Amino acid sequence: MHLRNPRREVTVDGPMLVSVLLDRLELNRESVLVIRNGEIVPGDTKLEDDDRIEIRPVISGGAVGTDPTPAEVAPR
Amino acid sequence: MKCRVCRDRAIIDIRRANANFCAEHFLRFCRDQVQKTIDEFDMIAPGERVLVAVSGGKDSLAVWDLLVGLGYDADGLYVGLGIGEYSDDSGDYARRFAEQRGLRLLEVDLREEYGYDIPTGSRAARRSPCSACGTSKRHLFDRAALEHGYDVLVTGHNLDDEAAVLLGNVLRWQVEYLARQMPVLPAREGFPRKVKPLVRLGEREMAAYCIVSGIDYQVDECPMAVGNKHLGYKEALNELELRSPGSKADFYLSFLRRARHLFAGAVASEEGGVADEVELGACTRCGSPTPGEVCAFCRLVERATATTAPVELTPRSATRGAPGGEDG
Repeated sequence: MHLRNPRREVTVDGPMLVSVLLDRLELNRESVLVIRNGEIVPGDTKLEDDDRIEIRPVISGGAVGTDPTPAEVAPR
Repeated sequence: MKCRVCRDRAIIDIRRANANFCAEHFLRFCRDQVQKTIDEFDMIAPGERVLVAVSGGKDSLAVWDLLVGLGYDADGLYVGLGIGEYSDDSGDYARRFAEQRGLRLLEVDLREEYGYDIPTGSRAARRSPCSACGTSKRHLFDRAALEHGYDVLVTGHNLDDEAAVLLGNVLRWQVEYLARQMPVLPAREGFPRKVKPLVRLGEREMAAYCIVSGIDYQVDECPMAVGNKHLGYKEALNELELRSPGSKADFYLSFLRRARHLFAGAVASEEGGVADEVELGACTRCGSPTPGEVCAFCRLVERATATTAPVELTPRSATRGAPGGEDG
Protein backbone atom coordinates (compact mmCIF):
# COMPACT_ATOMS: atom_id res chain seq x y z
CA MET A 1 0.00 0.00 0.00
CA HIS A 2 1.27 3.42 -0.95
CA LEU A 3 0.73 6.44 1.28
CA ARG A 4 1.56 10.02 0.37
CA ASN A 5 2.64 13.08 2.35
CA PRO A 6 4.98 11.85 3.57
CA ARG A 7 5.51 9.19 0.95
CA ARG A 8 5.83 5.74 2.43
CA GLU A 9 4.91 2.16 1.71
CA VAL A 10 3.20 -0.13 4.19
CA THR A 11 1.96 -3.69 3.83
CA VAL A 12 -1.35 -4.73 5.36
CA ASP A 13 -2.89 -8.17 5.13
CA GLY A 14 -6.30 -8.39 3.45
CA PRO A 15 -9.11 -8.76 2.97
CA MET A 16 -10.17 -5.63 4.80
CA LEU A 17 -12.80 -2.93 4.45
CA VAL A 18 -11.57 0.55 3.53
CA SER A 19 -13.14 1.98 6.68
CA VAL A 20 -11.34 -0.59 8.85
CA LEU A 21 -8.05 0.09 7.10
CA LEU A 22 -8.33 3.83 7.77
CA ASP A 23 -9.18 3.18 11.41
CA ARG A 24 -6.21 0.86 11.74
CA LEU A 25 -3.90 3.46 10.23
CA GLU A 26 -5.53 6.12 12.44
CA LEU A 27 -6.41 8.22 9.40
CA ASN A 28 -9.43 10.54 9.32
CA ARG A 29 -11.68 9.56 6.40
CA GLU A 30 -12.44 13.23 5.86
CA SER A 31 -8.78 13.92 5.14
CA VAL A 32 -7.95 11.22 2.61
CA LEU A 33 -9.15 9.37 -0.48
CA VAL A 34 -8.51 5.68 -0.96
CA ILE A 35 -7.61 4.76 -4.54
CA ARG A 36 -7.60 1.12 -5.63
CA ASN A 37 -5.95 0.29 -8.92
CA GLY A 38 -6.47 3.89 -10.04
CA GLU A 39 -10.11 4.26 -8.95
CA ILE A 40 -11.59 5.90 -5.87
CA VAL A 41 -13.37 3.48 -3.56
CA PRO A 42 -15.80 4.26 -0.70
CA GLY A 43 -15.59 3.06 2.89
CA ASP A 44 -17.56 -0.17 2.46
CA THR A 45 -15.24 -1.57 -0.23
CA LYS A 46 -13.42 -4.78 0.59
CA LEU A 47 -9.72 -4.61 -0.27
CA GLU A 48 -7.91 -7.78 -1.26
CA ASP A 49 -4.31 -8.82 -0.79
CA ASP A 50 -3.30 -8.20 -4.38
CA ASP A 51 -4.89 -4.74 -4.67
CA ARG A 52 -2.61 -1.78 -5.23
CA ILE A 53 -3.84 0.89 -2.86
CA GLU A 54 -2.94 4.54 -2.64
CA ILE A 55 -4.11 6.59 0.31
CA ARG A 56 -4.00 10.18 -0.86
CA PRO A 57 -4.27 13.13 1.54
CA VAL A 58 -6.60 15.87 0.39
CA ILE A 59 -5.70 18.66 2.77
CA SER A 60 -3.64 21.50 1.41
CA GLY A 61 -2.75 24.82 2.94
CA GLY A 62 -0.37 27.69 2.96
CA ALA A 63 -0.86 31.24 1.86
CA VAL A 64 -4.59 31.68 2.06
CA GLY A 65 -5.52 32.88 -1.36
CA THR A 66 -6.24 36.31 -2.57
CA ASP A 67 -8.38 37.87 0.12
CA PRO A 68 -7.04 41.31 0.90
CA THR A 69 -6.02 42.06 4.42
CA PRO A 70 -7.61 45.13 5.98
CA ALA A 71 -4.37 47.03 5.55
CA GLU A 72 -4.38 46.40 1.84
CA VAL A 73 -7.86 47.61 0.99
CA ALA A 74 -9.67 50.82 1.44
CA PRO A 75 -12.53 50.95 3.91
CA ARG A 76 -15.80 50.20 2.26
CA MET B 1 -22.87 1.31 -1.64
CA LYS B 2 -25.17 2.58 -4.41
CA CYS B 3 -25.38 5.88 -6.24
CA ARG B 4 -28.25 7.97 -4.93
CA VAL B 5 -29.29 8.88 -8.45
CA CYS B 6 -28.89 5.76 -10.62
CA ARG B 7 -28.30 2.96 -8.08
CA ASP B 8 -25.08 2.00 -9.88
CA ARG B 9 -21.93 1.32 -7.86
CA ALA B 10 -20.93 4.41 -5.86
CA ILE B 11 -17.35 5.63 -5.78
CA ILE B 12 -17.71 8.27 -3.08
CA ASP B 13 -19.82 8.95 -0.04
CA ILE B 14 -20.55 12.54 0.95
CA ARG B 15 -21.76 12.20 4.47
CA ARG B 16 -22.79 15.81 5.00
CA ALA B 17 -25.23 15.42 2.08
CA ASN B 18 -26.18 11.89 3.17
CA ALA B 19 -25.44 10.86 -0.39
CA ASN B 20 -23.33 8.42 -2.38
CA PHE B 21 -22.55 8.96 -6.06
CA CYS B 22 -21.19 7.03 -9.01
CA ALA B 23 -18.52 8.81 -11.08
CA GLU B 24 -20.96 10.35 -13.55
CA HIS B 25 -23.36 11.68 -10.95
CA PHE B 26 -20.57 12.84 -8.69
CA LEU B 27 -19.27 15.07 -11.50
CA ARG B 28 -22.79 16.35 -12.07
CA PHE B 29 -23.12 17.05 -8.32
CA CYS B 30 -19.92 19.14 -8.44
CA ARG B 31 -21.07 21.10 -11.50
CA ASP B 32 -24.48 21.73 -9.94
CA GLN B 33 -22.93 22.98 -6.71
CA VAL B 34 -20.64 25.37 -8.57
CA GLN B 35 -23.42 26.72 -10.78
CA LYS B 36 -25.66 27.14 -7.74
CA THR B 37 -22.94 29.10 -5.96
CA ILE B 38 -22.25 31.31 -8.98
CA ASP B 39 -25.96 32.06 -9.37
CA GLU B 40 -26.69 32.56 -5.67
CA PHE B 41 -23.93 35.10 -5.20
CA ASP B 42 -24.05 36.71 -8.67
CA MET B 43 -20.42 35.78 -9.20
CA ILE B 44 -20.13 35.73 -12.99
CA ALA B 45 -22.51 37.15 -15.55
CA PRO B 46 -22.92 35.56 -18.98
CA GLY B 47 -20.24 36.70 -21.40
CA GLU B 48 -17.84 38.00 -18.77
CA ARG B 49 -14.12 37.25 -19.11
CA VAL B 50 -12.79 35.15 -16.26
CA LEU B 51 -9.23 34.79 -14.97
CA VAL B 52 -8.55 31.77 -12.75
CA ALA B 53 -5.69 31.92 -10.25
CA VAL B 54 -3.94 28.61 -10.95
CA SER B 55 -1.43 26.92 -8.66
CA GLY B 56 -1.23 23.47 -10.24
CA GLY B 57 -3.06 22.00 -7.24
CA LYS B 58 -6.40 20.23 -7.23
CA ASP B 59 -8.66 23.16 -6.35
CA SER B 60 -7.51 25.66 -8.95
CA LEU B 61 -7.37 23.11 -11.75
CA ALA B 62 -10.77 21.72 -10.76
CA VAL B 63 -12.44 25.12 -10.68
CA TRP B 64 -10.91 26.02 -14.05
CA ASP B 65 -12.17 22.74 -15.51
CA LEU B 66 -15.62 23.22 -13.98
CA LEU B 67 -15.98 26.78 -15.26
CA VAL B 68 -14.95 25.84 -18.79
CA GLY B 69 -17.33 22.88 -18.64
CA LEU B 70 -20.14 25.19 -17.58
CA GLY B 71 -19.46 27.39 -20.59
CA TYR B 72 -17.55 30.28 -19.04
CA ASP B 73 -14.77 32.05 -20.92
CA ALA B 74 -11.93 31.33 -18.49
CA ASP B 75 -8.17 31.76 -18.82
CA GLY B 76 -5.60 30.87 -16.15
CA LEU B 77 -2.76 32.71 -14.45
CA TYR B 78 0.14 30.85 -12.84
CA VAL B 79 2.65 32.61 -10.57
CA GLY B 80 6.06 30.95 -10.32
CA LEU B 81 7.01 31.26 -6.65
CA GLY B 82 10.48 29.73 -6.89
CA ILE B 83 9.93 27.14 -4.16
CA GLY B 84 12.43 24.70 -5.68
CA GLU B 85 11.23 21.45 -7.19
CA TYR B 86 7.74 22.00 -5.75
CA SER B 87 7.22 25.10 -7.88
CA ASP B 88 8.84 23.51 -10.92
CA ASP B 89 6.41 20.60 -10.72
CA SER B 90 3.41 22.83 -9.95
CA GLY B 91 4.07 24.91 -13.04
CA ASP B 92 4.33 21.77 -15.13
CA TYR B 93 0.95 20.54 -13.90
CA ALA B 94 -0.66 23.90 -14.74
CA ARG B 95 0.94 24.03 -18.21
CA ARG B 96 0.01 20.45 -19.05
CA PHE B 97 -3.58 21.03 -17.98
CA ALA B 98 -3.86 24.10 -20.18
CA GLU B 99 -2.10 22.51 -23.16
CA GLN B 100 -4.21 19.36 -23.08
CA ARG B 101 -7.40 21.39 -23.12
CA GLY B 102 -6.30 24.18 -25.43
CA LEU B 103 -6.73 26.80 -22.71
CA ARG B 104 -4.77 30.01 -22.32
CA LEU B 105 -2.38 30.17 -19.37
CA LEU B 106 -0.67 33.44 -18.46
CA GLU B 107 2.47 33.25 -16.36
CA VAL B 108 4.41 35.47 -14.00
CA ASP B 109 7.75 34.38 -12.53
CA LEU B 110 8.76 36.13 -9.31
CA ARG B 111 12.46 35.52 -9.75
CA GLU B 112 12.61 36.53 -13.39
CA GLU B 113 10.35 39.55 -13.16
CA TYR B 114 10.79 40.85 -9.62
CA GLY B 115 14.17 39.47 -8.55
CA TYR B 116 13.16 37.28 -5.62
CA ASP B 117 11.57 33.97 -4.79
CA ILE B 118 9.49 33.04 -1.78
CA PRO B 119 12.14 31.11 0.22
CA THR B 120 14.92 33.70 -0.07
CA GLY B 121 12.63 36.70 -0.26
CA SER B 122 10.64 35.88 2.83
CA ARG B 123 13.83 35.34 4.77
CA ALA B 124 15.36 38.60 3.61
CA ALA B 125 12.13 40.47 4.31
CA ARG B 126 11.69 38.71 7.67
CA ARG B 127 8.24 37.59 6.69
CA SER B 128 6.79 34.11 7.02
CA PRO B 129 6.82 32.28 3.67
CA CYS B 130 3.01 32.06 3.64
CA SER B 131 2.70 35.78 4.33
CA ALA B 132 5.15 36.72 1.58
CA CYS B 133 3.47 34.28 -0.78
CA GLY B 134 -0.01 35.66 -0.04
CA THR B 135 1.06 39.28 -0.52
CA SER B 136 2.80 38.43 -3.79
CA LYS B 137 -0.07 36.42 -5.24
CA ARG B 138 -2.76 38.92 -4.25
CA HIS B 139 -0.89 41.74 -5.93
CA LEU B 140 -0.01 39.85 -9.09
CA PHE B 141 -3.43 38.27 -9.56
CA ASP B 142 -5.18 41.63 -9.08
CA ARG B 143 -2.83 43.38 -11.41
CA ALA B 144 -2.97 40.81 -14.17
CA ALA B 145 -6.78 40.70 -14.06
CA LEU B 146 -7.00 44.47 -14.45
CA GLU B 147 -4.22 44.82 -17.01
CA HIS B 148 -5.66 42.19 -19.28
CA GLY B 149 -9.24 43.33 -19.00
CA TYR B 150 -10.78 40.41 -17.14
CA ASP B 151 -14.11 41.03 -15.46
CA VAL B 152 -13.60 38.65 -12.59
CA LEU B 153 -10.81 36.84 -10.78
CA VAL B 154 -11.63 33.30 -9.63
CA THR B 155 -9.81 31.45 -6.88
CA GLY B 156 -10.09 27.80 -5.90
CA HIS B 157 -10.96 28.32 -2.25
CA ASN B 158 -13.14 25.45 -1.14
CA LEU B 159 -15.41 24.83 1.84
CA ASP B 160 -12.54 23.54 3.96
CA ASP B 161 -10.42 26.61 3.21
CA GLU B 162 -13.21 28.99 4.11
CA ALA B 163 -14.23 27.11 7.24
CA ALA B 164 -10.61 27.05 8.43
CA VAL B 165 -10.20 30.77 7.81
CA LEU B 166 -13.46 31.42 9.63
CA LEU B 167 -12.31 29.36 12.60
CA GLY B 168 -9.05 31.29 12.75
CA ASN B 169 -10.87 34.61 12.57
CA VAL B 170 -13.37 33.60 15.26
CA LEU B 171 -10.66 32.35 17.59
CA ARG B 172 -9.17 35.85 17.56
CA TRP B 173 -12.46 37.72 16.97
CA GLN B 174 -10.92 39.51 14.05
CA VAL B 175 -14.08 41.39 13.15
CA GLU B 176 -12.55 43.25 10.23
CA TYR B 177 -11.69 39.93 8.59
CA LEU B 178 -15.06 38.39 9.48
CA ALA B 179 -16.82 41.29 7.79
CA ARG B 180 -14.98 40.62 4.56
CA GLN B 181 -15.16 36.86 4.54
CA MET B 182 -17.50 36.55 1.58
CA PRO B 183 -17.49 34.34 -1.49
CA VAL B 184 -17.64 37.52 -3.58
CA LEU B 185 -15.60 40.68 -3.16
CA PRO B 186 -17.00 43.32 -5.50
CA ALA B 187 -14.71 45.17 -7.88
CA ARG B 188 -13.40 48.47 -6.59
CA GLU B 189 -10.96 51.06 -7.82
CA GLY B 190 -7.74 49.14 -8.45
CA PHE B 191 -9.18 45.76 -7.51
CA PRO B 192 -11.03 43.26 -9.70
CA ARG B 193 -14.12 41.39 -8.54
CA LYS B 194 -12.97 38.22 -6.75
CA VAL B 195 -15.10 35.13 -6.45
CA LYS B 196 -14.88 31.65 -4.93
CA PRO B 197 -17.17 29.25 -6.75
CA LEU B 198 -16.01 26.18 -4.77
CA VAL B 199 -17.25 27.23 -1.34
CA ARG B 200 -19.95 24.56 -1.32
CA LEU B 201 -17.49 21.76 -2.12
CA GLY B 202 -14.97 20.24 0.26
CA GLU B 203 -11.32 19.40 -0.32
CA ARG B 204 -12.03 15.70 -0.45
CA GLU B 205 -14.56 16.29 -3.20
CA MET B 206 -12.14 18.45 -5.17
CA ALA B 207 -9.44 15.80 -5.03
CA ALA B 208 -12.03 13.22 -6.10
CA TYR B 209 -13.21 15.49 -8.92
CA CYS B 210 -9.67 15.66 -10.30
CA ILE B 211 -9.12 11.92 -10.10
CA VAL B 212 -12.45 11.09 -11.72
CA SER B 213 -11.93 13.74 -14.41
CA GLY B 214 -8.39 12.62 -15.19
CA ILE B 215 -6.82 15.87 -13.99
CA ASP B 216 -3.21 15.34 -12.96
CA TYR B 217 -2.37 17.75 -10.16
CA GLN B 218 0.29 18.60 -7.61
CA VAL B 219 -0.50 16.28 -4.71
CA ASP B 220 2.48 17.15 -2.55
CA GLU B 221 2.00 19.84 0.06
CA CYS B 222 3.98 23.05 -0.23
CA PRO B 223 7.15 22.42 1.82
CA MET B 224 6.94 25.93 3.25
CA ALA B 225 3.37 25.47 4.54
CA VAL B 226 4.01 22.38 6.64
CA GLY B 227 2.84 22.91 10.21
CA ASN B 228 1.15 26.23 9.64
CA LYS B 229 -1.92 27.30 11.60
CA HIS B 230 -4.27 27.01 8.66
CA LEU B 231 -3.52 23.30 8.27
CA GLY B 232 -4.04 22.83 12.00
CA TYR B 233 -7.49 24.43 11.79
CA LYS B 234 -8.42 22.13 8.94
CA GLU B 235 -7.37 19.07 10.91
CA ALA B 236 -9.39 20.25 13.90
CA LEU B 237 -12.47 20.82 11.75
CA ASN B 238 -12.11 17.39 10.18
CA GLU B 239 -12.13 15.85 13.64
CA LEU B 240 -15.45 17.58 14.24
CA GLU B 241 -16.71 16.53 10.82
CA LEU B 242 -15.86 12.91 11.54
CA ARG B 243 -18.07 12.94 14.61
CA SER B 244 -20.75 15.22 13.21
CA PRO B 245 -20.99 15.22 9.41
CA GLY B 246 -22.03 18.58 8.04
CA SER B 247 -20.30 20.60 10.75
CA LYS B 248 -18.00 22.43 8.36
CA ALA B 249 -20.76 23.36 5.95
CA ASP B 250 -23.03 24.48 8.80
CA PHE B 251 -20.26 26.51 10.36
CA TYR B 252 -19.37 28.41 7.19
CA LEU B 253 -22.65 28.62 5.28
CA SER B 254 -24.63 29.54 8.40
CA PHE B 255 -22.08 32.26 9.09
CA LEU B 256 -22.78 33.70 5.65
CA ARG B 257 -26.54 33.49 6.11
CA ARG B 258 -26.94 34.46 9.73
CA ALA B 259 -23.89 36.11 11.21
CA ARG B 260 -21.65 37.92 8.74
CA HIS B 261 -23.95 40.92 8.47
CA LEU B 262 -23.62 41.44 12.22
CA PHE B 263 -19.90 41.92 11.87
CA ALA B 264 -20.28 44.01 8.75
CA GLY B 265 -22.34 46.51 10.74
CA ALA B 266 -19.92 46.56 13.62
CA VAL B 267 -16.98 47.07 11.32
CA ALA B 268 -18.73 49.80 9.41
CA SER B 269 -19.04 51.87 12.55
CA GLU B 270 -15.51 51.08 13.62
CA GLU B 271 -14.20 51.83 10.20
CA GLY B 272 -16.04 55.07 9.88
CA GLY B 273 -13.14 56.72 11.59
CA VAL B 274 -10.63 54.85 9.52
CA ALA B 275 -12.40 55.84 6.34
CA ASP B 276 -12.12 59.47 7.29
CA GLU B 277 -8.47 59.17 8.09
CA VAL B 278 -7.18 56.89 5.36
CA GLU B 279 -7.53 57.44 1.69
CA LEU B 280 -6.23 55.11 -0.93
CA GLY B 281 -3.67 56.62 -3.19
CA ALA B 282 -1.49 55.17 -5.89
CA CYS B 283 1.69 53.35 -4.92
CA THR B 284 4.61 55.48 -6.02
CA ARG B 285 6.38 52.38 -7.36
CA CYS B 286 3.74 50.43 -9.20
CA GLY B 287 0.59 52.52 -9.14
CA SER B 288 -1.53 50.01 -7.20
CA PRO B 289 -4.00 51.29 -4.59
CA THR B 290 -2.46 51.66 -1.16
CA PRO B 291 -3.18 53.57 2.03
CA GLY B 292 0.52 54.49 2.22
CA GLU B 293 3.14 55.79 -0.14
CA VAL B 294 4.35 52.34 -1.15
CA CYS B 295 2.10 49.29 -1.38
CA ALA B 296 2.66 46.09 0.61
CA PHE B 297 3.93 44.23 -2.45
CA CYS B 298 6.52 46.84 -3.38
CA ARG B 299 7.69 47.02 0.22
CA LEU B 300 8.10 43.26 0.16
CA VAL B 301 10.02 43.39 -3.13
CA GLU B 302 12.28 46.10 -1.78
CA ARG B 303 13.14 44.15 1.35
CA ALA B 304 13.30 40.79 -0.40
CA THR B 305 15.79 42.06 -2.95
CA ALA B 306 17.85 44.22 -0.62
CA THR B 307 20.55 41.58 -0.33
CA THR B 308 20.30 40.28 -3.86
CA ALA B 309 20.53 41.87 -7.27
CA PRO B 310 18.79 45.26 -7.40
CA VAL B 311 15.49 45.27 -9.22
CA GLU B 312 14.03 48.13 -11.17
CA LEU B 313 10.62 48.67 -9.63
CA THR B 314 9.16 50.91 -12.23
CA PRO B 315 5.67 49.99 -13.34
CA ARG B 316 5.75 47.23 -15.88
CA SER B 317 3.68 44.47 -17.33
CA ALA B 318 2.67 41.97 -14.67
CA THR B 319 2.49 39.06 -17.04
CA ARG B 320 4.38 37.59 -19.91
CA GLY B 321 3.25 35.47 -22.76
CA ALA B 322 -0.03 37.33 -22.88
CA PRO B 323 -0.89 39.46 -25.85
CA GLY B 324 -2.73 42.64 -25.05
CA GLY B 325 -0.90 43.40 -21.80
CA GLU B 326 -0.20 46.99 -20.91
CA ASP B 327 2.92 48.45 -19.49
CA GLY B 328 2.46 50.97 -16.78
